[in-house]
Amino acid sequence: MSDILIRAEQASLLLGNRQVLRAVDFEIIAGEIAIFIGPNGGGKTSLVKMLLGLYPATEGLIERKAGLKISYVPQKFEISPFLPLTVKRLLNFTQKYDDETLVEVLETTDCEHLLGAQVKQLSGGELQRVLLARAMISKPDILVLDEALQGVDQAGEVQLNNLISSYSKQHGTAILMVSHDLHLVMKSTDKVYCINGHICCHGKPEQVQHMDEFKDIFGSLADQFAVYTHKHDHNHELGHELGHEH
Amino acid sequence: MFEFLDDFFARAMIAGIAVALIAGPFGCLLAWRRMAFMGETIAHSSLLGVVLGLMLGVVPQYAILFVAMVMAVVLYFLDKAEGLARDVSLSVIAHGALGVGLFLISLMPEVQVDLEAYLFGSLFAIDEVDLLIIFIGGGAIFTALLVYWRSLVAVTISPELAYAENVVRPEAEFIFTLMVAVLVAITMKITGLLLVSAILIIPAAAARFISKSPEQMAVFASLIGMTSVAAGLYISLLNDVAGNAAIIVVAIGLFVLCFAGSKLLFRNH
Repeated sequence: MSDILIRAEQASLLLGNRQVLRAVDFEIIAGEIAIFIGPNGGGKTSLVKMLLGLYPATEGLIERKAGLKISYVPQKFEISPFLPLTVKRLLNFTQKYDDETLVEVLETTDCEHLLGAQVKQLSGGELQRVLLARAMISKPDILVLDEALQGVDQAGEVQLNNLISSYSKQHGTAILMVSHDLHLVMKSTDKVYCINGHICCHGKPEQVQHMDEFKDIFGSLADQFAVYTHKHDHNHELGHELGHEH
Repeated sequence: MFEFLDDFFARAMIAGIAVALIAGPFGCLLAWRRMAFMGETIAHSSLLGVVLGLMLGVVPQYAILFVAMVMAVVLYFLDKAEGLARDVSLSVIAHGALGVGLFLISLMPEVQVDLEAYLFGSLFAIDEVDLLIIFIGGGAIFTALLVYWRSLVAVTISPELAYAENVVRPEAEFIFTLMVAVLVAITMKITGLLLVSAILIIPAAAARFISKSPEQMAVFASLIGMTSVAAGLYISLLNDVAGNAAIIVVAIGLFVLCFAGSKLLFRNH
């Protein structure tokens, strides 16, 4: 499995008495962009945590490549109000970097002015930008983003999505993203996984939209999604996403 | 050359300052993690240590240290098992240990336990055994703290990030629990059960107002704690008041000062 970064084989997860996930087969290879979509409570975040080893699989197998460098932006990041912590210290969380490197990475997410700010005083969107910068600074093999753009304004969302995919191309970084927003499924997504207690269906975005399982889960939303991806099948200009109707 | 140790006041001063130095960063970690009452919980179990020491003929300080560590280990595993909220498991352990301790004492009517020393400490009765435990135990946990600091702070900031990105030393959290047990055992003699949390948490709380980083807060907490001990002990010497009480009064004074100072500075910005 030289190219496979994380692999799940028939992995099931029980939290308390609740069967959250059953018989999940999954793999992500170097440089690939995969996105998890699905309804609330469908187990997207739990699957991410299981793949990361935060929840041990109740059954089945999870394998991570030896020495795999992971960066993670969790769905919830709540810092103790009692902990004084600057953005700079947060970025030095795992490893120390010089100020120049820090400013450089913060510039990519437009928050270099926050370097000296206290983390607990950031707005939701600012915090997500800082966390995304933090995740990119260590040049990981895989970037795991669980609703990483929540609280970011719409223009910022498009900008950061573009940043993430160009970062992936530039560094060969695999991306694993969770989203409940179908519109966010990027044109550069390699694989879409529909998750509702198990992997209902998966494939390339243009394949998945025609699958019955996908339509069952997303109903009328699926049609919108189909139109959306269809449009972009024929037009891969960045600028068009900005004007996209929501 | 250690004649000054014959003086009870010098022994109290040395022990108090050493404990306050170590308590600073530990108090911060406990406060950040909303575990402020962990110290008090483990302290409750020390009565059990006293009783076991008497039953087995072991020097009470060693028995207290042993029981504190056992309780900390129990707490660690209760914490890992899902289903019990942390404050509930803390309460179960604290009062369970206290109850069993009191039960065992009542089984041994011939034994006289100095409950006042247990509740309020006996700062001016610190002996060579206490000093030895403070220096060896305190030195060990202070060294371990420096070794594991980065890992402990990482887990404090975000356990999910720290574990997912594999920056945690796997043994760090378990060792932290043991370190807190040792700290409480050496603090008990100085403050007593009722005031263990005071020397752990008040300096950290005061330091919060004037700190910008975790490390700064840890250092300030130590400095505030040591100042409280030194000033408190002199006040108690001059005015013949209880030493541990005087220490806490000074610490509270510094807390108010830091709070007011930060508000004033904040207004000027």
